[in-house]
This record gives sequence, structure tokens and C-alpha cells, in this order.
Amino acid sequence: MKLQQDLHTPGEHADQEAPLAGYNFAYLDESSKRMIRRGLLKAVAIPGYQVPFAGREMPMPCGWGTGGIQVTASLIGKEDVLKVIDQGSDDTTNAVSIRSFFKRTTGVATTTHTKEATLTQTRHRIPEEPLREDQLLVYQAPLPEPLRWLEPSEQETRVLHALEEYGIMNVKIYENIMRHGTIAMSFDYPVRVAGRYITSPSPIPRFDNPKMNQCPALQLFGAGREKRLYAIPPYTEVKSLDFEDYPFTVQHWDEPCAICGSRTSYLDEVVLDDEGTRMFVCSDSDACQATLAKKLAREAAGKDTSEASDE
Amino acid sequence: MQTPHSWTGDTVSLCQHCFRALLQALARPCQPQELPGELAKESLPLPWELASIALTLCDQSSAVYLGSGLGSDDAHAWLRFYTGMNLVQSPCEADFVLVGTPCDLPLLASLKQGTATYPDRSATLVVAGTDFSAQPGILASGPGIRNTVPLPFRPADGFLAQWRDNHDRFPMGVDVFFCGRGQVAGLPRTTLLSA
Repeated sequence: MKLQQDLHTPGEHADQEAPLAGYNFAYLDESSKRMIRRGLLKAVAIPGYQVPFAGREMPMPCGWGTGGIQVTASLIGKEDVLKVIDQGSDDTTNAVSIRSFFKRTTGVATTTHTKEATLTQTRHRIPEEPLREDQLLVYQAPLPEPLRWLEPSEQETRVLHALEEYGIMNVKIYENIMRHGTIAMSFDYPVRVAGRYITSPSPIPRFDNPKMNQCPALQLFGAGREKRLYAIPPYTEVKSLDFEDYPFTVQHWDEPCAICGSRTSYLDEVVLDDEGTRMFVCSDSDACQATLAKKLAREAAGKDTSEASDE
Repeated sequence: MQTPHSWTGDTVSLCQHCFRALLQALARPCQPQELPGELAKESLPLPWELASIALTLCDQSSAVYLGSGLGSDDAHAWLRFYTGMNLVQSPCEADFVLVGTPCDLPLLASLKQGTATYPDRSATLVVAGTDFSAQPGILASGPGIRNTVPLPFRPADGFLAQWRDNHDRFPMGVDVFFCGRGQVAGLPRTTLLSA
């Protein structure tokens, strides 16, 4: 997919390619980056554990991905190709503004194609295209503590994590089943990382949870307001919590994507009018465009052969 | 004290490349990563791999202990001047322990282990002079490793027993970077080494 801002050819706006004058590369100063980098290394060494860090003020309010942005700023280099998605889409406000922020402060290349990206910052989705070892995924995490709604005190939740005392989470899932007949958490579905820490996968749909397990790419999480970093190393077991008789399942839809016809991707419900008409379309705009292009190519090829046989 | 060796390169780019190598090294344990070679040609009073890592991670907010092989005044002066690190007298107080030779490591149990509630407040040990040409037939497994990988260097005597204890202390424990020959390999506390 081509976006308006990606239509510039490099030579044409050479002045826009250079990083913004007067700011350090990637906006953050070097000592802030060092602090975040030290935190990220400890986060990788203790998979799923939340490392506190001194979150900085960023030029956008908390809740717009300031944690993810600080992680990306500490990682990004001139050779990186950056992709930013918001709920799977490359062209929503949050994605566009973060992408242009890094374009202005670093001058790096950006893309909307998952395959081309070396560094992807995401809000609430994992791309449909499987990630590779040479890619990094940075999540914006609003509420990093999975036990927070069950135990409001940070001191208490820290002790619960230290003692591996996760009974209250099991009770929550049990009560969910009692009330709804099924585990009714559709997003931010808690996971257990490497058999130890219970971790919030950030508010991704539970459809995406299986993609985190044994993922070849390193996954990093930044929570700006709560000032926490955590990580899931590559090839690490990530298990969605469940019970033997109520196993974890992902969402599925009765109809395919209305645009590309995919039956394997995560679908958003779009309300079309006030009479209840609705359609389901892929949430991952890049994957949707790719599937659509393939489908059209296949149809064109099919038409060619049928025309050829007619003659 | 002599004026520290002058270096006027692009530290922003050096530290970014070096950090990505360190991050991948720790995320993919025992799989050596290339360090950026900006400092390789400089004449430094300490191994250039160690100098790059110190520049990337240490500053005025980190307590650093310099172990064997880094006792010279020149090495101290270089590190203090370029990173602003706080040097401490005892390894047990340090956030970072830098060691110049792989054969003389401090006891892992004597370093900061973190606490049960804050296991991240533990020491990182950085060891220079590692020779990545020998594979002693020890297998590593754990998060970041698909199945198993061989340990890419010969560990010092008694290190394996110490490492087993360190691994058993999870989530507390020490993380180690081994560097040398322009490469760095990570050994996070989650990695299990078995002969």
C-alpha cells in the first residue's frame, strides 16, 4: 500500500530526509537511551519481568505510545527500516504520527510492508505475516501489570510475582467461565513467559497470542505512563493461561474479509449504516492488500486462460 | 595523570550499533554477534571490545568495578573520561564488572544478585579476551535458543559449576557478556549449560 507521505521520491525532498536539526538522533538524549538500553538488557535476561525505568517526557501525551517510542528511539539506527502500525493499520493517526516523528528525527527509511521492516512498532496487533529472526517488534503497552485489576498495590503485585503466587489470576479466569460459560477475555489475554512470569501481552487480540510463542523475532514492550520495560526473547515458550477442561482458543469468524476474502486473518467489524448493516475486514491493512493483489492476479490469470481457450 | 587518549568518532552511531549487538547477543545466548569496529584501530589502554561496551552502557549513574587486566591507570583514566562511570572498590557493589582476561573471573556469587522483587538490580559481568575459535562440546539451551547451540568458547576452570548455581538462582542472578575478536556472546541467567 502506498500512502500519501510515502509518495515522495528521496532526491526530491532531500532536506526532509536529514534528521531534524537541533535534536539528537532519534530525539532522546544519549544518557536517556543508555538508561533504557540497560533496562532492556535486564528485561531480555528475565523474560516477562517488568523492569522499572525513568520514562521521559515525549512530545506526545501518555497513551499515544510513549513507552514504545522510547524503546524504538533507543534501538533505531540509520540502517533500520521502520514500520508503525496501530490496530494493524499503517494509516491511522497514531501510526502516521509516530512514523513521521521518527522520519523527522532520524531520517530512516519507512515502509508499510511487514517483510521489508527491520523494526516494527505496534499498537495492539501482531502482523499477520510471520516475523523473522532479523526483525524486532516493539509493543506499546498501556497497562504492563496483568495483576493490576486484581491487586491495586504495586508493592503487593511485585511480591506476588516474586513468590510466583498467581492464584488470583486463576480465580479470575475461573470466575470468567462461571459468568460467561467460556473464557471471555478477548484482548490483553495474560500469558506465562518461559514458565515463570505472568505477563500482559499488551492489548493485542487473543487471536495474536499464539504468534508470540516460539517467535523467531525479539519482542520488546514499553509502557510510558507506567514506566516499565519487558521483553520476550526469541524462541521462548509463551503460554496463554487456561484450564485443561477449558483450553485456550482464538476468535474465528463465519465470513471472510469483505475486501480480500481472507479466512485466516483477524477481522474488524465495521458498521456501515444505522440499520445494522456491517462488514468484516482485515485489521492488518498490509496483509489485506497483499492478499487482494494475489487474488486479483489469480483472477486475471484465470480470465486470460479462459479467454485463450474460448478463441 | 596523562591526558586520556583522544577519540573524536561518532559515539551516537557507535553506541547504537554496539547496543543492537549486545541486545541480540543476550536475546540469542551463545550465538556471537559482530561488534562495530570503530574503535578497533585506535590504540587504547584496554581491549577495544570492552571500551565499546563500556561507552554504550556505563555512565555517571553506573557503579563499575574493574577486575583483572584493567588495573592500569591509563585504562582507569580512559574509562572515567569517556563514560563518567563511578568506580567502586568492591565487586559486590558494582552494577557492571569489567574484566580484561577470561581466566581470572570474580566469583559469580560474590556479585550483586538483585532481589526477589527486583531481580533486575543485579550485576552484569563483561569479560574481554574471549577466544571464539574453540567449541568445548558444551550445549546451551533456554529462552532465545532454538533447541540447543554449542558454547562457542572454552570456559574458565570451575565456571560451569558457578554457572549452574547462578542459573538456579533465577529470577535473580548475574548476566555475562563474553567479548573478543570483534565479537560478543551473551550468557543471560536463563541459559542452561550442560556438558
